[in-house]
Amino acid sequence: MASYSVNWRDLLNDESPQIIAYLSRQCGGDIASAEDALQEATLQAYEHWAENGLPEKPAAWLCHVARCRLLDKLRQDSRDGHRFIDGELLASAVDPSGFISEQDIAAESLENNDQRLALIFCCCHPAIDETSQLALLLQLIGGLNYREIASQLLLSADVVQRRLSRAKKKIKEAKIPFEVPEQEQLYSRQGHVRSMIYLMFNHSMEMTAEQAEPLLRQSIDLLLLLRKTVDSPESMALHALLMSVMARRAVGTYEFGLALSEQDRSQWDTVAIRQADSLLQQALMLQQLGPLQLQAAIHLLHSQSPSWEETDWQQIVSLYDLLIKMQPSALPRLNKYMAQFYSGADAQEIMDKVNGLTPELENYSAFYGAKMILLLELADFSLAETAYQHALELETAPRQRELLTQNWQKAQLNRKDLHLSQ
Amino acid sequence: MQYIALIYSDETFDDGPIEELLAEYQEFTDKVTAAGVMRGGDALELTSTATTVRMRDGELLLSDGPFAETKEQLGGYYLFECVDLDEAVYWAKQIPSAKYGSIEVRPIMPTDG
Repeated sequence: MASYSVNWRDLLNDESPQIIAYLSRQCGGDIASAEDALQEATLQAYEHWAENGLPEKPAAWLCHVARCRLLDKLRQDSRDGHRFIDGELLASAVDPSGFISEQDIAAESLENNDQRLALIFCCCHPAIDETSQLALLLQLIGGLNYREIASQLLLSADVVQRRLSRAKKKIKEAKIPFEVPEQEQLYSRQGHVRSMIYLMFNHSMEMTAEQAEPLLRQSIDLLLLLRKTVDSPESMALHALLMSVMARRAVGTYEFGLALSEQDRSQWDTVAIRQADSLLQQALMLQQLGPLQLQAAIHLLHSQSPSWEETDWQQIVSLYDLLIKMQPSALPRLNKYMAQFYSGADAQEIMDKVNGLTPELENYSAFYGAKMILLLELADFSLAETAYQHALELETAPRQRELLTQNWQKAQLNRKDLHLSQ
Repeated sequence: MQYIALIYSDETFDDGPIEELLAEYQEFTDKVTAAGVMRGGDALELTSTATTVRMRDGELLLSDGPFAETKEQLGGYYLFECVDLDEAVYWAKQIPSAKYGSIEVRPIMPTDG
């Protein structure tokens, strides 16, 4: 028996999206069959690699074997009269030269024929409801299982499973195009695809490090693919924003869960932050201001400030003002009020403004988190505790809950110090 | 690949002279025919002419009216031959009633032959 070592989780996380995209596209959008074929190929790899050692290009090996399995299934279905075959797969199979050096072809196809963007445009088609779009991305790009997706989307695993299989069936049977659309459609749909990539990235920040890594990498990869196909100042800004978020993670650790004021800024990747900043500057020079450019600018002001105390709150407040003009919703207003508070505005005055947002934000954890901070400043500890409890009740993401608890406990310690010094 | 476009609208809604609407439909029908997309289509009489048929335990049950009372009623359909859903939507959005009613686009299930 040949000895070999391979990190299956990494291999599958890194390669599955590309293989599934490639195979689905070849069989005319039958994602479920592509997934089944890859699973069979993986099982075969367990045995074959143990006997024969690791192939030179494991991804190409998997892709090639999965492609053969898929072809078998399509032939079987077509013999049974279950379907008409109109995918590229069968056409390529009848070509006798197609089977000469299949693994090389598979390797080349994977490298030069990245279909992940086509997969995203297909999954984010407006004919599919948005929750299912996100579930598809989390499964096919992020490699999450039903239970993990369920906990992200606040649904039961059964519902997730039903939605996913319904969406895949619709893609196949209604023939939702499995391709990057052209010109007019590309321009009108790129914004939505971009926000879905952003949403996927945001979800990854709420996961454990092990779950999140592949999703983070894939989100950035996909954004790059999108930018190569159709670039825009907003996509550049999102790229800068994601780079800046990634740069704030301490090297080799996972620190999204720590409050901005508590992070060790010497651990941030300053080179990446500078790159992000220069990308944002390029976007701004194109003079088509959009919400993502403002969000990225706010983010980068934080990333470039030497300490929490030295943050340029005035500038952040004016950026929020611009953002509120474009997106007149309550959440940017809450953030603006808090920036005013941090820049030294009177806590009671800010408290009154924040209270004015109650009708819109009463179901948001962040709203009560902000109130907790203000009430602590006003030394109203019993109301602060109520706000803390509210915030905790409404927060489902484990890392955000941890952060809230940290903040609360720290406030308790500060209070003890106060008592001691009196 | 064939798609049916089911045209739903409020049949009691009076949107100007019927001649104008009919002319718009004629123009659309000519357009899809010229494009080679048209495989069929018809307009239906009002739901007040509908009869719903059910067989229960071998017994025929007839009732007056459509099988479900809805705000918008099925008033007609087109059958299109298209490469994918995007093309079907491209044509469906040009059906005159799409401006105030709803068009349900559904693939025809493929069968042998």
